[in-house]
Parts: sequence; C-alpha cells; structure tokens
Amino acid sequence: MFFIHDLERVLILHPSFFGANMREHLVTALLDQVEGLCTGRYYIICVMETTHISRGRIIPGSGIAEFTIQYKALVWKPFKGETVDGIVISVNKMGFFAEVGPLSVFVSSHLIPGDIKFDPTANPPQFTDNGDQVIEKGTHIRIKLIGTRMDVNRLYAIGSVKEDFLGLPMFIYNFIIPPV
Amino acid sequence: MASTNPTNGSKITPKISSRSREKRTIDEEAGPELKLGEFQHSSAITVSEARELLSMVFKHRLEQGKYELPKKDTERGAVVNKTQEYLEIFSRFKNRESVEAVDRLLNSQPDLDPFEKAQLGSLCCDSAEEAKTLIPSLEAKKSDEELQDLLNEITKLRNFVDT
Repeated sequence: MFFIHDLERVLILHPSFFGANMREHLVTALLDQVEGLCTGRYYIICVMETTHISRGRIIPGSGIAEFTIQYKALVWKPFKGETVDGIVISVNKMGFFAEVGPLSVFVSSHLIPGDIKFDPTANPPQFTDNGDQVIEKGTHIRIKLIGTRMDVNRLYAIGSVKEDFLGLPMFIYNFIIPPV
Repeated sequence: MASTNPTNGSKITPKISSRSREKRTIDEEAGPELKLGEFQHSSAITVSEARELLSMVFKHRLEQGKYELPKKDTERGAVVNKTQEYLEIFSRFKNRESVEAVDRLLNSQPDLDPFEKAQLGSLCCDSAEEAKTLIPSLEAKKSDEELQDLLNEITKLRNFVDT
C-alpha cells in the first residue's frame, strides 16, 4: 500500500559546503541517501518535499555540522492480509515469484488452487488448469499477502492465490474492452 | 531501595533504567481489523494517485534542474524504476481529472479508513462481495448495497474516461 509518510533524517555537512547553497547540498544528500531505500519495514520511493530543516549544530571536536531534516515521502509498505496486484516473473515446481512494485512475493504451490497444476513440459514453465487459466511469466495476478519478513534493508513476502477473487483477473486489464 | 506508596506523587526511588521495548511489528496486519502500526493515521493513496504524484514530482524536478532523478543503474534507482513501471501498468485512472474524481468520491465516505479507501480505488472490484473478500475490514463497516453503489460509481468513472 502506498502512503505519503512524514519522515525525519539526520544529515551531516562538511564545512567546505557551508555557504549560500547549504540547503541544496542537504536536499541532494537526502535524495541520494533515501530514495529507493528499503528500510526493512517499507520502501521509500521518492521524496515529495522537505517540510523543515533544522539549524545546523556543529559537532564538538570536528567542524562538521549536523542537521535534522523533516520531509514527506512516497512510501510503499506491504501488510499481511493485504490484497495486491503483481506480475509473475518466474515459475518453478515449488510455486511462482511475482513482483509487486519493488517487492518479490513468493506464492507456494500449496497456496495455489488445486485445479491449477504445474506443467513441467510446457515452455515456458507454467501453472495451468488445462483450460483458460494459465500462470506463466508476465501474467498479471492478484495475490493476498500471507506474511512478511523483515531483514536489514530487505523485505520478503509470501502470498496466496487460493481464495475467492484472487489469482487471474476475470476480465482482461485492457480498458478498450469494457467489462460487461 | 526504599520505595514510597506509588499513589503518592513524590518519587523517591529512581526509575529502573532500562530500554523500553521496541514496538512490536509482528501484529501488524490488514485483516478484519486494521492494525497498521505507525501507518494507522498516515494518508494511504491509490495506485493511480501514486502514479500521478510520482510523475509530477519527477517532472517538476527535471524542470527545476536543481536536483537529480535517481540513477537507473544503481540498486536504489532500480527500486524507483520498478515501482514506476508497476504504477504505469496497474493504475486504473490514467489522467489527473479522473484521479481527482475518484478521490472526491472516496472521500465522501466518512466511515471508511484511508487504507480501505485506497484499496477500493486501487483494486476496482466489481461486486460488493469481491470487495469484502479482498478487503476484510470492510465487512463490518458497510452494507452490501451501499458498497455496491460506491463500486458502481467508481466503475462508471473508469469506463467514462477510457472510452
């Protein structure tokens, strides 16, 4: 789920940067450090605006100044129990991986409906019910997140397509064909 | 250590100095009850809105010329890039007007949580049953009829724009 979240970061600035463009240097450093970062709890996609930059405090013993910068950022965080749309990126007999934004979600074969089975002979490898439901690389799929695990700077998630209304969309995502 | 009556205002004994336990993130979930941790009161946005915001911010940055966009070949840049592509594919409302219209429509429902509103706007369910299955916390909040009306309005906006 995407959020606009208020965040804060402490930045340091070497005295060689003191001068008229201090603000620009600080914001550039912030963008550099934070955009695209996975904090382990969520992904910071983009900094929208900086709401407040504190006064610099010189660290005793060195000439370096420390600033606290408050900003608003577009953040993406997966929640357990959340329904998300994703794209399948790889399929093997244990299940498939789907990408939901920056995160890779693994859906185990146990959490795929029983009638959709792994077909090892097909090229590319796919899960199919031998009817019109095929899960292969590039398929759009609706997943319910079952669990998330956090690590330092990395997020892992597993999902399920076993419930009603999950899995393959009934109508094609092509808006030229309006749903009936 | 001598202790005083705890109901007495004066504190003679020093507080035991230990670190307070970090907030548990294990019970965060978006199930029948929304437990979103630090995001409980944060503004959730739909996929279409996120796409609009992201492209606006980057466009503004390019125009201003002061700050750079994340470079595509770094790990961080890849995260931003992947997200942008994802948003492009899965956003249901591709222009500013329709995104704002959906936003107004969803905000006219004061009993829904921001998370639920954002989910409704992102998933674009057809039936109330589908919406209640995919967004379990809606079960208690809205009747099927009200929800179906809302979903029909959203579908109308979607079709209206894309034809």
